[in-house]
Amino acid sequence: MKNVFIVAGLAIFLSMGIIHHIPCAEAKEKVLRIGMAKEPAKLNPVFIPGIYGEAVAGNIFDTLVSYKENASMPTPLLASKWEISEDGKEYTFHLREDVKFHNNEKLTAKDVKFTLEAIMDTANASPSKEFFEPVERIETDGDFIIKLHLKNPYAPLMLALGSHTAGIMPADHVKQVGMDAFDSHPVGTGPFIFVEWLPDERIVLKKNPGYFLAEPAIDKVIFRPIPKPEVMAAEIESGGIDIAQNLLPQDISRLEKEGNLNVMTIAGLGNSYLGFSYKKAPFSDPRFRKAVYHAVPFDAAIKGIWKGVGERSYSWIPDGVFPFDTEYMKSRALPHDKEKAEEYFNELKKEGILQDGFEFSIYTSQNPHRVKIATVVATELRKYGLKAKVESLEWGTLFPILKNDSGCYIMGWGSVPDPDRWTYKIFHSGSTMNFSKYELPEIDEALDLGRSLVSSKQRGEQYIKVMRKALGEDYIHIPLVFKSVTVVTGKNIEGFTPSPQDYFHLVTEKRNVTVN
Amino acid sequence: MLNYTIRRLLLLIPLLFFISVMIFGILKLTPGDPAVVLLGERATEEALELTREKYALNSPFYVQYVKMMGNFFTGELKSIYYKENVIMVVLKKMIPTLELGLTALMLAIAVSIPAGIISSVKRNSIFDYTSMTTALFGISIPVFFTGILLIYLFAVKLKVLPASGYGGSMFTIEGLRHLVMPAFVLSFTMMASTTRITRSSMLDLLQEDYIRTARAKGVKENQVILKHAFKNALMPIATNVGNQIARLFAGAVLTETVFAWPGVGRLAVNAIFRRDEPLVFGCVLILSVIYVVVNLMVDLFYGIINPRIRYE
Repeated sequence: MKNVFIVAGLAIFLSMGIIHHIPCAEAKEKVLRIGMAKEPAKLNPVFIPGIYGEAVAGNIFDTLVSYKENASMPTPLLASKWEISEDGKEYTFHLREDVKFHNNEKLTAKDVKFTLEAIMDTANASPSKEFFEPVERIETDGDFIIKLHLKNPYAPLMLALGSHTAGIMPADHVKQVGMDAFDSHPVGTGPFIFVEWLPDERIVLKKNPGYFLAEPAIDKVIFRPIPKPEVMAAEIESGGIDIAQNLLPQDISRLEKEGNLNVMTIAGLGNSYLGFSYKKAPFSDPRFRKAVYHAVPFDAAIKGIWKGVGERSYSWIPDGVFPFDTEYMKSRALPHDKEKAEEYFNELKKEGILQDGFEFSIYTSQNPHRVKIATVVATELRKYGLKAKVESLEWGTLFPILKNDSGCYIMGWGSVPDPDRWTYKIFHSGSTMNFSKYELPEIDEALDLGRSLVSSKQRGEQYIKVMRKALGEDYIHIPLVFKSVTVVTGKNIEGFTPSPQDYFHLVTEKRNVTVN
Repeated sequence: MLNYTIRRLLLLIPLLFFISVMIFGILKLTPGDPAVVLLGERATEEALELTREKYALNSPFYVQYVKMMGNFFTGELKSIYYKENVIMVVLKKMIPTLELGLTALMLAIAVSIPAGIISSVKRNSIFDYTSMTTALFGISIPVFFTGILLIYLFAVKLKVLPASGYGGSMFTIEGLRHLVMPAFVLSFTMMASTTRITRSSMLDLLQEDYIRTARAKGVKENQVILKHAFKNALMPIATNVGNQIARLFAGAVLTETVFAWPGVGRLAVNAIFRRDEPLVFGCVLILSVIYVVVNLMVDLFYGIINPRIRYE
């Protein structure tokens, strides 16, 4: 026992003395270390349920078309060109002929067919299945042409194909190993080859020297889950990682002063909102919702809470996504006005819809910003004799509560830049994510039209209609904030820019990130 | 002693049965649907239903329980999340957990037992007050505070140690460098109770008649303290350390989270958040077995440090 101590003590001292050797030993190999707030749940594109998996998969897999550089216009990736028929029901993609999977198999149309069918196969229970719902059948024409036949025109299809959850998998290989085993050892065509995944510790990728766009400039990428944002900040500050995301506002302002770091902030594609029930009294009374809007100083509160990591929002559709209707939506926001709030609440009390001392919970996730704004709302409402309390729950517990009409809640959403993805699941009457149980035939109709129309202008009109009605008239939600994405990188990282969806794109047609 | 050991091991069976029923019951009482958590926010009702079927979440509880127990003993109980045998999943995390835990415990013992002895001998001295106050701080300051403080000092300011993460086996330099801070932080919380117990049991013994006798017959003070007093004070200390060893296998969730350490504690907590029922079930069962076995070993150890104890 004694010896162990002595050895351990000695080793600690020695290691402190020779730390400077370690960076030198690794200098030959260009390694990029990325800190992630959470570990991906899955790496098999068909199974990926959220952004962390997509962020990693985006570097292992390629999609038919790419939105990596321009979030609103598809650019060629695996498909070099494509045609869409007049009626919008037939998509033809011509594949590149020089693409190989990491296991040296050649990419052909049958791999694409297999992948898309795997997403649509009910047995796989893919979270992305519904984005391919309008697809009727897929056929291959030779080795390099693939055709998608749709039941009806469906504008968001290209986005679905460009999403990392539609990364093309090698058909023969997956059939051989099975979907589950493929999840822990993914094989794609992307710029990086999967090496290992040590849960809670790291995911390692190495470069694919034969990548068809360009040979990646980095030899190795390490993704490390770092659950504590304070520690993430310390890691980037001390040089333990090269790219950090999901930092706290106070850490960001400190890191900005740091000389050897780049702090990059862009508008993101995520929001937070305060939602009310459409069915349950007193929340179902529009006057109650307006009263809450008047009662809480949202502008000031949001500025304080999301300082530097988000901007006040007035609609569900962020500025980077069409249609642009911010001016109108802004004019429909209600100002902080205690008298008006008092007036509405008194009216409701007189009519017996609201009892004095009414007790209710504001349900929210464990996102610290949302918990804070929920606390602000609850505190302000106490001044009007409403006893609101904040219940911050983890997802597994929260989701069933929200699904069963919770009354009042603060939640968020994040998606690709297409208005359909931003509205359909939230406002359509039958959708699981419609926590407010909002139900209006005209809204459903507009949302369905928005899916099947093809021209952006006509589609835009439908979404303007939905937003103006739901948020500008019914006040079914109070939009709170569009979050921005802040990524901090070391000065030695070249060519990296953040993505609005928290992805880490390293090699695209326009960039090849490197470490100096 | 052999009989005693066998009897204790046999007692494990009803105990584990009880634990398994308890943990299964709690799992089923926990709100939240594993399928929902697994598939995320985009899942459709249809996909949810399929997933429930796939993992037999729809069958009656007793069927699910029997199936889970059966799978556990045949080694077929697989984590929903890792798709791997739960025993393997837990064992893989055991290495980092034990590296962190045992190093912390050794550090804690190395500091707290001498500190406790000196405090008792030099009672009410400055050293005594300092060590008792430090112990109090150790037990009261939360790990995420001391942890982040240390990270800021050693990683950000002095840049001598990595801020977080696992650097591989502790017998490599990289592994050891990553281990230093979390082990120290964890040991800080362990030191408090051992120091206090050492001090108080030593204080009691130092007033015994046989200590005075030893001193009177001219035994050196060192010998009096270490041989006559400390040896007898070992019993409560061993109980305390034994408890800490048993607990150490379950990992230290807070320390592991702060330092992004891939240990059993984080595994278990994540499994709960992900509603990975087989993994939670398997994890708790395995940890219970370890806990009981370690406690048994501590009991047997009593016989070695105090030969008067006999096992019937």
